[in-house]
Amino acid sequence: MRMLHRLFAAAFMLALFSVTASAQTKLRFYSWQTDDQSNSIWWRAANKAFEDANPGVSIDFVKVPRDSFADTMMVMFSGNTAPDIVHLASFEFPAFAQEDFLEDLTPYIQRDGLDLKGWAGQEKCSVHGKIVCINMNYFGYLMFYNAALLKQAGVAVPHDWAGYLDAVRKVTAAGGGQVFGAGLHTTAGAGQYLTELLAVVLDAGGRWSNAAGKPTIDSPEVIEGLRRWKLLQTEKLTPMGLKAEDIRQLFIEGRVAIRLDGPWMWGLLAKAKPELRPSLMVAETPTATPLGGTSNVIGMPASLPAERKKLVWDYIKLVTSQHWQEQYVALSGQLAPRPHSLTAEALAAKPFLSVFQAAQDKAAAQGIDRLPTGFETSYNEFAKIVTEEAQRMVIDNADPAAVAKRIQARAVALQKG
Amino acid sequence: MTAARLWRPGARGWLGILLMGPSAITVAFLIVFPLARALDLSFQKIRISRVGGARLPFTLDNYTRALGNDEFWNAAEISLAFVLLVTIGCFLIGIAAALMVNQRFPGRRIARLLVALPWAVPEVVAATIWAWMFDGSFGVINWLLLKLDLISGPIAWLSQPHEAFAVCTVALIWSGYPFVAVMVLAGLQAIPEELYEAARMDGAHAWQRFRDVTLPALRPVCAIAMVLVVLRVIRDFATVYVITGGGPVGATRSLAVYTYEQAFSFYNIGYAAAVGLITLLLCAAFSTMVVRRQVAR
Repeated sequence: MRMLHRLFAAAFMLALFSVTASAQTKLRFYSWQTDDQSNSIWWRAANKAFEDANPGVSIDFVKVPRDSFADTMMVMFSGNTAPDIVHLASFEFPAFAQEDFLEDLTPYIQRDGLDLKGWAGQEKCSVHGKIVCINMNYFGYLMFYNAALLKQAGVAVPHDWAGYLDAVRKVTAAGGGQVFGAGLHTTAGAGQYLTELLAVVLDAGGRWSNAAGKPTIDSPEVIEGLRRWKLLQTEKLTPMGLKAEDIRQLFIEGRVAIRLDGPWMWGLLAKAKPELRPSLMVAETPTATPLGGTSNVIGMPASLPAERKKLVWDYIKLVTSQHWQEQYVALSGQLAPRPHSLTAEALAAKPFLSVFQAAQDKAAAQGIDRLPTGFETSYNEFAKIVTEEAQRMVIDNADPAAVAKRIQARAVALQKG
Repeated sequence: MTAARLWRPGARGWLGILLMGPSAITVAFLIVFPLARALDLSFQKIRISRVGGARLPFTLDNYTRALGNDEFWNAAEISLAFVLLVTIGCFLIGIAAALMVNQRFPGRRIARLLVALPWAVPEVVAATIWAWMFDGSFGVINWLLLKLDLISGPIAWLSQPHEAFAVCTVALIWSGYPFVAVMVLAGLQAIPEELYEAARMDGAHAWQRFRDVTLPALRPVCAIAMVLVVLRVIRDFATVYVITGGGPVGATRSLAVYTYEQAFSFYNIGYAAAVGLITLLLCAAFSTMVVRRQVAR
């Protein structure tokens, strides 16, 4: 009988130990970058490093598709079940900051002396005098092109708008309806539509708003940008009605010759067929002013308990450290926002990063951001207005000047609420 | 109360209530609570709600804004157009398919299965397939039409307002007609053969038998099916959103898509709740009208 009691006691202790051992603190981290060919490699490495440095703490790195990310976050924040580590696109975090959902990181930054001087795109994280996030990526747009298709069409790699237009016209003409010179997002998904339209508008010298946030859409430069955008579609130089993801796929299948996109597309090129891959190249955009901007930010919910806030801040400190910013460049193949993250070794291993750096520097020097000043908290609504009117311009063959005037009026009304 | 006493006739009512209780409470929680919450939100000028957050002042702004908003009425018109066209399409194809598979012929079982097949395909999967089929540059529909010399150049199905609306309508009919077919088939099998025999003896030919026997007998089934089809079309979100996202230029932005857009893209939860409740009232009014007419008959 005593033996039986001892056995029970041992089993009880074992069970208790197992429960204690498995009672880890789990930090929930929801992201759309869990399985891409670039960012996810770095995130996973950083998560593992954090877990190794913090025994008993694990990170639940969960995928939420990009298309439904903002919806999911809104539902989670509304239900007081926000993730511990908040990851948001740069165009969606202002709406959450506006509702005071995000913790003010200023005291943490000051206490631990996190140096944000020269941190690319970080100024966008300041809302009403509070730093509510850390920018994790500032990009410059790049030109991805299929050298074989350009060669077949007898055109050189373009360096300006005229060269670009000539190239996409000739490739499309040679493509017989199956290959297109340009690849534009021209369908649902107003945010992406606006970004791609902005790339064309910027080259014409236009901006959606000025530094004070006042809309400048009826300016001659924006009108010229709209005219160019219309031209690319009315001449059918791009497949119509496709999303950016579809266009990227067509690019790596050799059916689109030139695609202007962010550095995240570089990782996708590895999925191209081996015989096509050598033809897929990257260069600076053929635009005088390249599109650039903040991509995504990291932060924490204001409603988090203090002990979890401490852990999340430790995590933010880790991923923003010099070492892990350098690792970002090495593992993701993209530039990190922290200054001096691009080391000589990384550049030697990945020579294309010099092109990325040039594009980023050029965009940053001109203060370009895809998020227009004055429309930070109503970005999606602004994007819808511009997209609808630009689509109407193409469908109805409308005058770009009249379209610009209409967008301007709607944008002003939007700001007035 | 013992088990034996519970089964006495007088206690049966209480037993029923006891057994129904958990389900009733669950249903009430799942339906009444969200409805009450939506109603409450619709009377607040709120962007993003928070559980346990402070209630904002009562206002009718969301309702007056919706009723005075061109975009709302445009969405209502589009929903109405979808309802009319999709319901007619579903009933024409559904009744024809049901009449066909009600006949005796070799392979009838397989034919019945094929008729019901679109019903089994998840909405999002079906919508994605339709979007690719109607792709303006690489879609199989354009390829087929070009091969048959029915068009001279590819049609930008999803980039043109009328074409995009037509694609969504086709997709909604395709996924909706099997339900009508199954309902009508069940109705057809319930019609007594004697009625047809009597009609034949009276000299009625096929069309007369269909008009004077089949259709009147199917009326109750069709009324219920119509209510369900109409409600499905009004609340359909996935098909339209996946194919066009409500575009181009709002040509397919139905009330469901408009509500979603306001709630989750523009973070206007209070306004979206108001639009959702107006839609609910429209649906309730329609259902009540059809059911009352059916009862009156």
